[in-house]
Amino acid sequence: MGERKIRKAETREPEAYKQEKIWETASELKPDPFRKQDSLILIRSGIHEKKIRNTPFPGELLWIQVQYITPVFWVLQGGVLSLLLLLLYRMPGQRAELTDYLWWSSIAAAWMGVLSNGVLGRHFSSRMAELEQSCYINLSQMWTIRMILTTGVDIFTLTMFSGGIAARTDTFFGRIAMYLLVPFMLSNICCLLMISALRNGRGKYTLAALAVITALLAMAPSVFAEVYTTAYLWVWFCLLVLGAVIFAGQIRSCYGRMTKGEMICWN
Amino acid sequence: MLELRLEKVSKVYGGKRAVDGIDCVLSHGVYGLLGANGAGKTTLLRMICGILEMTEGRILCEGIEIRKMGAEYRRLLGYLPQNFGYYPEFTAKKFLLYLAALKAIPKKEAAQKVEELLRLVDLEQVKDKKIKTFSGGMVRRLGIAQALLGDSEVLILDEPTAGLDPKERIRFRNIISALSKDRIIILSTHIVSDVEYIADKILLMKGGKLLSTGDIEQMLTQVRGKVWECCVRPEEAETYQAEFSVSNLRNTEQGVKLRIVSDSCPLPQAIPVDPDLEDVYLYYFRELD
Repeated sequence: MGERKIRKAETREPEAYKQEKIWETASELKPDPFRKQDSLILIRSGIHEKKIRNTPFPGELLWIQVQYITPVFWVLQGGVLSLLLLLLYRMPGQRAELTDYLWWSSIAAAWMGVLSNGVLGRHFSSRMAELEQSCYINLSQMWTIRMILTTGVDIFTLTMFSGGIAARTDTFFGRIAMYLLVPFMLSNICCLLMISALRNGRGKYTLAALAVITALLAMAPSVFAEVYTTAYLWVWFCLLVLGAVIFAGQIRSCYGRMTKGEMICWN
Repeated sequence: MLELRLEKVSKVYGGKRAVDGIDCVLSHGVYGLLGANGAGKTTLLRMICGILEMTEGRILCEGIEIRKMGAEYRRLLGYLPQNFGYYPEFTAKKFLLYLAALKAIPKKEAAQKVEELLRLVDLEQVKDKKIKTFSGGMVRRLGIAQALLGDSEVLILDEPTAGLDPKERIRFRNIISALSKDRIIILSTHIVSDVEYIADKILLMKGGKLLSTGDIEQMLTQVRGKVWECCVRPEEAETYQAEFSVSNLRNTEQGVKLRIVSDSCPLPQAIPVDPDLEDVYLYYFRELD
């Protein structure tokens, strides 16, 4: 029986056979209890000293930011959204003119931009930027996440609202979206300029002033109703493209200055 | 053991060299960074934290440039900025949990650590109160607590004891002393006694340059024989104060007792005395005054 087993083993690969023999011998060995104890102590201390590094997933990063964004932001955003919904459902259907809708919704779009940028500016107005930049998830990353989050919410809201207006005024959806994205872009540019340029002007009062200024600017085209006609569509398109280019340039500059520390270390 | 190597680190602001070619190696222990206002301490600390880009030079952590290490270097950091801010509507606990999240500390571990740190800095009773209701000292203690989150291997504290009362300062010194094993702690302060008690090494900065480095005993040796005490008449005290670097002045029954830092014997009746760290500070910074 034993002879047959050995012969069977010899036919296998030599390395596998060697491994089997080692295990067979090991099972018969009895470890020295003192050396075993010493080894266990060593392993335990190794485990104790080992630092487990946690690397958050993108979803976790997003959740952290959602959790810690000031509730005031969500309340005000909710307020603007409610205003838009109220406007959409209170306007008397087909009888309302396109400009009637655009007057209010342009202001709301401008305010959305101010609110979103207010979230970004808070790092500076609360003097937290320096500390946050030194953390594992640093300020630049937080800005990116918050920008995606808040701008995403804003653009989604404006798109939905554009759809609503388009349906009620028999106007092409893309045209309404463009009319609303221009004041939104404009307010984003103004706010980012304020955040990056002014040292002490990042507080709530400056934001309130900006909300008034951008609202006035957003309202201005409604005074000249013809600017919302198809003849001026190319102007709106150019404004939107120009705004997007300026905004992209501003963001690039902000990130560069943040990385260098110029935007964070004022004194 | 962790090592930070600073090689020719400089920062130029519009032609002015705020930090000028600093070379040094930092391994575990408490480093006291001393210097007058505008000496470049905060700028240097910001560069060590990787917050501020240096104009020249490089900082290496275990032989790797910190700029290249990025987030992995920041993971090692605990930082208390000089202008420590906070979100006023946050409670102390929420604030620490927020920073723990930014430091990528797992949630369960963070909750435990936050409670432990709140106890350590004596803010446990007010942990659910909004920070905007805190006194300056309490905010500073909260700042110290956040720097200790995550068992950072490099702890950088810029003026940590500013605004703390003597009891709180002692508590802070004890915390730092207990933490000094196996990590690099850099402490910038104006309060010489804080450094004297807990620092293993002193870094003296002046005009953006590192004037002198060494342990306290080495520093004291440098000014031994240069500190004098003498009694003068009250009407003469003001003249001598203008003439010499006086580190202390005390009214006694015999007259005014002056403690003078001077390379040579300032007055015939002056006798040499043992120096302390304040004398060292005055010795190096007297030209500024």
